Amino acid sequence: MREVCVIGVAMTRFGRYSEIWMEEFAREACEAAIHDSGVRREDIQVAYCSQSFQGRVAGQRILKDLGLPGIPVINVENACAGGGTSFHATWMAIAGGFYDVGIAIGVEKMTKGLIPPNPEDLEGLLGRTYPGRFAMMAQRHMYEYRTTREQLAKVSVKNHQNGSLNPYAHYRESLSLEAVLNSRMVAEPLTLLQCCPVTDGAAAAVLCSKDIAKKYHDQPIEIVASIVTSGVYQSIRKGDFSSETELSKRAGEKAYEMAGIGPEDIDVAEVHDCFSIAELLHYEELGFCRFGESGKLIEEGTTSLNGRIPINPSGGLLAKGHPMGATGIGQIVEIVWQLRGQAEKRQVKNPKVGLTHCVGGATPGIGQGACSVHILKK
Amino acid sequence: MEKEKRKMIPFREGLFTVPSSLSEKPHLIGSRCQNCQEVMFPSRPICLNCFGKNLEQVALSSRGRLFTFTINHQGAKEFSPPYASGYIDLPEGVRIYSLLTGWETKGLKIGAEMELVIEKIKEDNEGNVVLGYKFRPL
Repeated sequence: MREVCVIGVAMTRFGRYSEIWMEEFAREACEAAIHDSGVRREDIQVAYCSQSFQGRVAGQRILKDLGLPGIPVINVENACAGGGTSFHATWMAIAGGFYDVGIAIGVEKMTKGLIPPNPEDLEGLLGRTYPGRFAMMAQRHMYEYRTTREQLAKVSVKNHQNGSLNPYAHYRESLSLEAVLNSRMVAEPLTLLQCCPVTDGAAAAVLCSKDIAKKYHDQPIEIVASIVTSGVYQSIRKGDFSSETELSKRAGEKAYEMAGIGPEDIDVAEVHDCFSIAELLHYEELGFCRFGESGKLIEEGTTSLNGRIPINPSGGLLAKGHPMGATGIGQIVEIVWQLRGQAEKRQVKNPKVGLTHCVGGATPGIGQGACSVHILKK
Repeated sequence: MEKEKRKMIPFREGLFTVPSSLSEKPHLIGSRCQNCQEVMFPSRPICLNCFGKNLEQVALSSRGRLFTFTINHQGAKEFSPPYASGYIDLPEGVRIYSLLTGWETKGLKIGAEMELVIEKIKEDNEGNVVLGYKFRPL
């Protein structure tokens, strides 16, 4: 297996692009990532494109005007973990020696409102919404660990504060704790400002094998772990973790093992904060604190921009936005900028190792469909 | 005459029994794996726990405990908020997502004992009553 680096990244500002074709704004992200990488367009040998709602051959439709004739373009769907999945697939193609240079693309143009459940999904048919699902996790966390409404809301306050410093974020206003708590109730205890918005956007990353990386870019970022995994059934009879917790925990452990490091070595992370409670759960699953202590972690400011382990410096899904198939690549873009020292006003102090984590695709029986974790190193 | 045409139909077949008299209790229909004894809902041909294929259909307990819940203030399609939903742990060791009823008067508490009821969840385009399962606090 060859070592692989990220040499070019770019994203559109996440927001609402109702007047623009997705092919157009996604192409702009690809062009910018290619330009950032220093490769010539014709050097790109393979493309993986993730999306959930863009129809057939989305990747080809994006790349058709870029002059990349005839390369294999593989379209990937893995719900909210789609971006992590297309990045993983590109990594795999290069690590395996099949190609030297590839591009990972993520794009989504969302429709307004709640994401509809799959028709076979029994829970979805009986009124289970995504906010409702996470609200139930929040209620249980509050019951078991005495996590408070204020601690939940503080996740959103932190991420909106970070988002206010990010020119690529959908929402760029910082919010007070009162504003978050007093916004419209969506599913108790989650208020509107603790739910990620409906967002469009695209992100892209150019990858190449490590041995040629310096030829293109003077600051290649190494991919030291790349994991995609799926949910498995967990028996409550045996007192197992919930399927969701087991999935992110297992993905994290596999990534740490692959990188030969532990959670204490991570300097900055982007995790899947689709709802405030989700970020707290991920602190625990990814080992940034012990189970039950995530409320304390946010309370003490440990995950703030100037804390011991800054989490979601980009503003996360809550403020930067969540264009499903693009989210995972958007996280990679942020971590690459952080490791290069290009994150401007939201720059974390000299990080050397960063982690990204995305998860999604609610599926009764196995919890979530997919989870992807990456560890990048300067 | 109009009224007689309206039928009571389950929202999906094979999920629950509908009592034919008031003294009878409704049940959800699950599967028990003959190999590992795992009980699952809904019933299925392959065990989620051990992937065994020897499963028997079982009527599940109609009482359980509330594992967690929420009051939804933004509804899924065809559901008008506010409505409550939650997960119920049955004694067989199966956790079931369900709509909740009776919470407006009795309130909801994690750990509380809950009972299965079969109720209307909506009407279809032809005016038929669509039945589904819900749990209510005892």
